[in-house]
Amino acid sequence: MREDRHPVAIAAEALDVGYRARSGRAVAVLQGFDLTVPAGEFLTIIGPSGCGKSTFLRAVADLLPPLTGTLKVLGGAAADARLRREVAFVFQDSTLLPWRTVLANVELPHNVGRVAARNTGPTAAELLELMGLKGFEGRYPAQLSGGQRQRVAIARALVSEPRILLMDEPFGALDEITRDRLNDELLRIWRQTGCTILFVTHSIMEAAYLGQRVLVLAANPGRVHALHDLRPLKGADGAIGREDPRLVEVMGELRRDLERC
Amino acid sequence: MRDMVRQPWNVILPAAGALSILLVWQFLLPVAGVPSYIVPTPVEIGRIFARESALLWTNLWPTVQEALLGFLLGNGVAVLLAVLFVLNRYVQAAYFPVILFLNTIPVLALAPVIILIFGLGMLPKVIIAAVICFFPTLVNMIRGLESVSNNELELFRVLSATKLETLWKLRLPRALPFLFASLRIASATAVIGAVVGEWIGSDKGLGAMIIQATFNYQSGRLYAAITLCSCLAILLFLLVVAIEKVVLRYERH
Ligand SMILES: Nc1ncnc2c1ncn2[C@@H]1O[C@H](COP(=O)(O)OP(=O)(O)OP(=O)(O)O)[C@@H](O)[C@H]1O
Ligand SMILES: [Mg+2]
Repeated sequence: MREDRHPVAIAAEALDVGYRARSGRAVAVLQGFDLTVPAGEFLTIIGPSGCGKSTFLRAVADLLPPLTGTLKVLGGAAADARLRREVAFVFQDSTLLPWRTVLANVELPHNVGRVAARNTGPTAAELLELMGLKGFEGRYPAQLSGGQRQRVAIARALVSEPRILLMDEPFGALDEITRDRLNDELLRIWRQTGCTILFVTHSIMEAAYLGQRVLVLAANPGRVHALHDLRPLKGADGAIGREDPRLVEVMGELRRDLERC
Repeated sequence: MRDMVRQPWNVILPAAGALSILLVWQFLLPVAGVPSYIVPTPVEIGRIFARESALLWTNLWPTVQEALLGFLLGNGVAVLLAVLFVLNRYVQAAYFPVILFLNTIPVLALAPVIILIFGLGMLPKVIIAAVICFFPTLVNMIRGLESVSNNELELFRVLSATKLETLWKLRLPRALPFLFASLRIASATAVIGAVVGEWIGSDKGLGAMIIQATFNYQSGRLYAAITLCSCLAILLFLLVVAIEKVVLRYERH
């Protein structure tokens, strides 16, 4: 676990994010977006398709400049956090490079970018072991199952020891059993590393099970619809049983939220 | 090789097919009254190979050099230009249409001009072979370099990769399958380019030999030269495939 220099991981105020049309006119997807994510939080995000969940993650990763408003990542500009390698992204499709072996894929962050490698953290091989992929180092991505590929993608995101882990429906394409197992592994990694996680999902179960808080977004324009604090339900380590009636109740609330927005 | 052992029919059937055609050529064509000065039999062509091997070798060598050098030059320039175009959209917008226009000129029409400019040595043949390889590789290579997905580009951006790193570690590996697809085709067209160049202005090489043999009704020699041309193209093709197998190792898994 690393000491956190800044207590707030992400602070968005009156933030508009969107895309520029060919004509140059800006189309705001998220409008007047306010959100503060304390460092070390596990925040899950759900909302109807097209409401701007991926767009928000893109803004935090500095893949998309905000149109107006302020967005602070670890107390500074999103670009600075990106350049310092403090933000990592896991996509829905694992985006592994097929010509690199599993090990070389995990080591990719060490091979690009002008960032001095931090040698304090776990090595790529150790991360693969942590993700239950010992012995798969020399394989190519095409030889792995979908769940294994996503584990490699997570190991790759962790190898640069990010403070903020952005995950955009990382387990969306997996079967439920694999997804449950990966959810538990992810919680374990979150506890071990103490990093901040923003996790987008379409699964109400996943959102409630993983999140310390659950952010529900509404569409047209994208905005905060509700923010559920589940910390009172969960232990200090964020653990809760999947069958726990309180969790089931939260899932009902989330479902009603989603129907209304 | 392993495929051949597992699938003997993959070897036996094509061999049987080729053999049947050779047999018909050898025994039925003479019976059908096709004179040997127009189409000599395979055995006669084989005898030419034995009798005139020295002459055939001395003419094969220049064509090999021209085709190989042209292949390297044309594909090399195409790859470099494709990289330049992808790195700088303005250069691409300015020059790609010009290249597109030049490509519509038939090589056969261009060849005499190239001979006029570069004389009768080996260089003009190399250039003609290069020109013929150039365009398909350029187009394929640009397509390949641009075949990266949005997520891949975003991954590299999150990692703060430089433009050159993205080129080297993402775009080029993505482009390699496209490049090899075009190199396979270029292996045959490079030989065509060299032979066309020799037709127009040369006294040595397989192309020159084809022209002279035709004028002198030396049909055995003509067919032997044609056979060598195609063997050369096949060898070049197999070389490309062998290199591809090593470079694109990961695709076989
Ligand atoms: N590159 C782009 N250019 C223009 N508009 C875009 C672009 N990407 C997304 N959009 C628009 O922005 C809106 C939000 O997209 P976004 O991908 O953030 O949605 P999402 O909440 O992640 O949806 P999903 O759950 O389907 O992934 C959509 O209306 C979409 O059409
Ligand atoms: Mg999305």
